[in-house]
Amino acid sequence: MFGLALAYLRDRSLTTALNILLLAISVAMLVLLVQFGSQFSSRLDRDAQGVDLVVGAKGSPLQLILSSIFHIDQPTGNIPLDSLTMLRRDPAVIEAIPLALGDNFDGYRIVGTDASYATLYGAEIAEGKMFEAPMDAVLGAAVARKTGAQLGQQFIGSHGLETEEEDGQGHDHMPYKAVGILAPTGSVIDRLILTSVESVWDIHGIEHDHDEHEHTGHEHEAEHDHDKAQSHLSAGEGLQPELTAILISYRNAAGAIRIPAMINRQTEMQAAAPAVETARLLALFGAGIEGARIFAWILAATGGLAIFIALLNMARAREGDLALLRVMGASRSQVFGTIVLEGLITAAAGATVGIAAAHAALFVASRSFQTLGDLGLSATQFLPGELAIIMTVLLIGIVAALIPAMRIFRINLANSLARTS
Amino acid sequence: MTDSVLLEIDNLHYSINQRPILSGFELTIAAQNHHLLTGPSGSGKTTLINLICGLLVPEKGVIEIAGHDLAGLSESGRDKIRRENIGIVFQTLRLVSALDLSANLVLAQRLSRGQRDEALILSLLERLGIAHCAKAKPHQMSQGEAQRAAIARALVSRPRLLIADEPTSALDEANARQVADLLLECAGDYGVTLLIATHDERLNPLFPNRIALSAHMSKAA
Repeated sequence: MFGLALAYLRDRSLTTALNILLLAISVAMLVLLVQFGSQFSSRLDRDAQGVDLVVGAKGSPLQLILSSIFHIDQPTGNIPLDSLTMLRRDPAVIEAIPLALGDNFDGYRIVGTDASYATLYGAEIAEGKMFEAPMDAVLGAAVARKTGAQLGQQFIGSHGLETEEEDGQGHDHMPYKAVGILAPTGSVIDRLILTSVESVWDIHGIEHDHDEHEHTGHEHEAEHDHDKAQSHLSAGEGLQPELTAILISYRNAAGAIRIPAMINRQTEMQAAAPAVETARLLALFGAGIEGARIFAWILAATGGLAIFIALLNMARAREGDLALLRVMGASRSQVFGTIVLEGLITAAAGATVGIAAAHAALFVASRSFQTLGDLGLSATQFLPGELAIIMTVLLIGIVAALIPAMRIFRINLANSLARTS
Repeated sequence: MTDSVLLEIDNLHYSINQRPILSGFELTIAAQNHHLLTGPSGSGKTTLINLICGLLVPEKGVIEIAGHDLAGLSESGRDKIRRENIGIVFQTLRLVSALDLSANLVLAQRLSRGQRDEALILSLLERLGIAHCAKAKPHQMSQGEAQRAAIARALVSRPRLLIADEPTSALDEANARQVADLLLECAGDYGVTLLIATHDERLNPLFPNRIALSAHMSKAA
């Protein structure tokens, strides 16, 4: 009966193709939504993994998270260096990683930090070595790939998160030197340039003690002739070595209760939990995704309706054929099965084409759009959600075929033969 | 000629909308004893054929095909008797439209016997002179070719009784003659008994046995 169902579908190939197309479009949309939703949120989770709390200057907590974890926004401001010492001394903190942000090279953010930042993302050195001396820089995998930078390459950082043409804010008096390249991790660190906090200070002309890595909190005198964004909080009394944010991991659950409250109440800084802000971000996106999802399901229902109409017309126009099949010895259930199979085949073809199209689109998109590639969209990843979509679409195909197929039980064979023969 | 009785009808009653079409009808057809079923339109030829094929259920009376009584059977039981014993040729409804000729024949074999017999298909295509149409869709064939294809489709399941309802009425002189000749020849070759319902006068000289249904029953209404 399978061959017969196929033959009937081929017999009206235009209708079949249109029905398949209709279903394929809706399946592709649904798959893309599922893929975007899941890959986006898993990427967010991966980037925020290991970081329980971000401490930074007061402002929007979402901005703090976006700037210091996902590196897609401007920093909120600076915080004093002694806060790092204070947090490192806290028994509930297992790790505190300093971040000094502000510059970029070719759109890739330069992050002043220490080696533990790479460890946080499990990034290993693929070539060269970790930064040690001032102005040493380690390139993320994507940075090295896209800019084609080699070890020993010198480059100049410029202000902000994006490099604009001729913005004239380059620090050309102090070039960075690439000493290492990281292996790909699939996280945000791939498109960052890591250097030491001291290099960032140096470049902005902030004086500090090179030998003393573990700062004890005493204030450094800074040069006045190089006033830059890094220092606006303390601009009045000179440039202090400052940080942009501190990433914190708790040693135990008690920290989660005490530390945010302590920072928000007793200091001029704010503490933001990545989990909370990420959830807020997803909720913001969620409304849009939900709307698109409803639209796609309506499209799928339309596809089902189209199959229904096509099969209903077919069952009416083919009454003679169906009667002939019965006379030739086909049982009612065989003829019934043939019609249901037609709906099922159409739905299966639509689902297959849709999934293939969605993954092809993902492939093309991740190739041609830098930002999507950065988000870690992968075309070869299949999700359980897609299986659910396929099953639902197949069900739609069967249900759409049921009512037309039911006609075969109502056909009065002698009458249809009399009409058509 | 063998004496075995292929079709036995006794005291058959059937009416449509309270109008008796057949009452007390009797008929016995022995194997290899071809019959022509004649009568004007509305005299009940098609009704009788539908009854014999088990597509309609008689109000009263006995229809026995190769010793099986249709009366006591369910619909699927009647389907089975029809599948195993009867091939049917209609006036215009000939082949499944979506399939080409050979696929039609294979399907007919599968449906009736559950297996395929390529040799029989080839010999029928050859015998009926439509081997060149094997890959043609029904709408690509001429009237005559299509009717011969319908005969092949009916014979491919190796029926014992071949019932044809107006097989030649839609055809021109030459094609009608050719189809009638082929029906008779194939009946001999494949051991099939023919029962042909027609008002086509052209067939009369070819068949010695004639069952004439008259229209007088319907006049009562």
